[in-house]
Amino acid sequence: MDRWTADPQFRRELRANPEDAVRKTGVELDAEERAALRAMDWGASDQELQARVSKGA
Amino acid sequence: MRYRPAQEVFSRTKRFVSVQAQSPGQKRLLLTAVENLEAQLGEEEPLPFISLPLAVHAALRGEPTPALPLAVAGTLLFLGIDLLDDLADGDLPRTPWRRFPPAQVQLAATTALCALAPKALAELAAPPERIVAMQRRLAEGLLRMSAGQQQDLGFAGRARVGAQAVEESVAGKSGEEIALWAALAALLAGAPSAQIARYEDVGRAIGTAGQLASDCHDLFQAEHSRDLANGTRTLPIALHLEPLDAPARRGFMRLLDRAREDAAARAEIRRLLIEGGRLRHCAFVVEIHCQKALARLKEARPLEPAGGALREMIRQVSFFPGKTSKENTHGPTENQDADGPLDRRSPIPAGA
Repeated sequence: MDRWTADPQFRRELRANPEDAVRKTGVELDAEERAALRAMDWGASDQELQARVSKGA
Repeated sequence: MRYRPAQEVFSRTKRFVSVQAQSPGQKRLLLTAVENLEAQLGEEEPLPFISLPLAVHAALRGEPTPALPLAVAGTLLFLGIDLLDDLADGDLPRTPWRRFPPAQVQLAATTALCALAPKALAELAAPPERIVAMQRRLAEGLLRMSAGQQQDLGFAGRARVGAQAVEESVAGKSGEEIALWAALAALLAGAPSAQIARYEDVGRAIGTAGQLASDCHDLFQAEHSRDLANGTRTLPIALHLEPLDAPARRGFMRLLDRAREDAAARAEIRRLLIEGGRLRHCAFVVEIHCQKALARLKEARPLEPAGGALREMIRQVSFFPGKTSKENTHGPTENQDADGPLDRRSPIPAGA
């Protein structure tokens, strides 16, 4: 996640193919983390993300 | 007319409190607490302490109705916890509580938690050994939640708070609360221990994700952030503090101190957190817990339509509901979990 903020190239790669981008970093994810990676909308802007914040359970 | 389980459960809760109260004064105090909670929550549906036990019971047994009295216990538990939280944060609403001294409000909370909720469990129409198991699980759940709350209270105002520790305290408090409701419903349904564990995990993941999402709402959406006002260290704050060097941390701490009362400081914190990617990071952590909930629910093979109701609860917590629900599959109409079919004709002993 720190690379998302600091590395524009990584951001582009993550938006194009999240699992490949993370695999290249050498970070290993479990099944739920990979599912979360796929479920995230990496193309959403910060403002769009802010608008989606729910009130939770 | 649309069936509203929350309305029915609150009606039952008020009747239960009216019958159990030992004096007119106690009845007035406790009914005030229940009516205030009902008014606060208003038209909100689903309410986790009502919808979750009903859905878990229906997922196991095919119908939610036997869990309605359990939802009364859940309402009383939630009431006690909510009042204690408000007292600890100094957030108690003036209406209706200005008529009662704080000590009486505390009394209402502890009475709901320690007397009324266990009494509601004791009066369930269930075999005695199942009720004992539920009472034991209630006590264990409250102990875990207390430990989680103590950890959370220890973070307030601190400069060094690990993000993982914050996430664990959320799981230990809010996660354990929802896990408790799921466990009680599964115990009432007479589920085998492996199924109870699965539903506990579903509840824990929903509760953790829900609280993390709520903390994000407080920081990034709410007009007035209660957490910034109280110095609470939620996950976005912890994620931001963790990598800072000492001078930057001191500067951010000064900003956090100002934010307790200064709206401009709060806006600056929001801007820094968003620019630092902390909202996106939290969204990812919330999504991981949502996926955990879905995975464990799939393993539990819930009956439908209750499985759909539980998936919808998970979906409502996620920042990406459309994509979160992609993994779901419809379950069987007869419960065919790995522990063998659930015999609906006779109760299964708790712990089987």
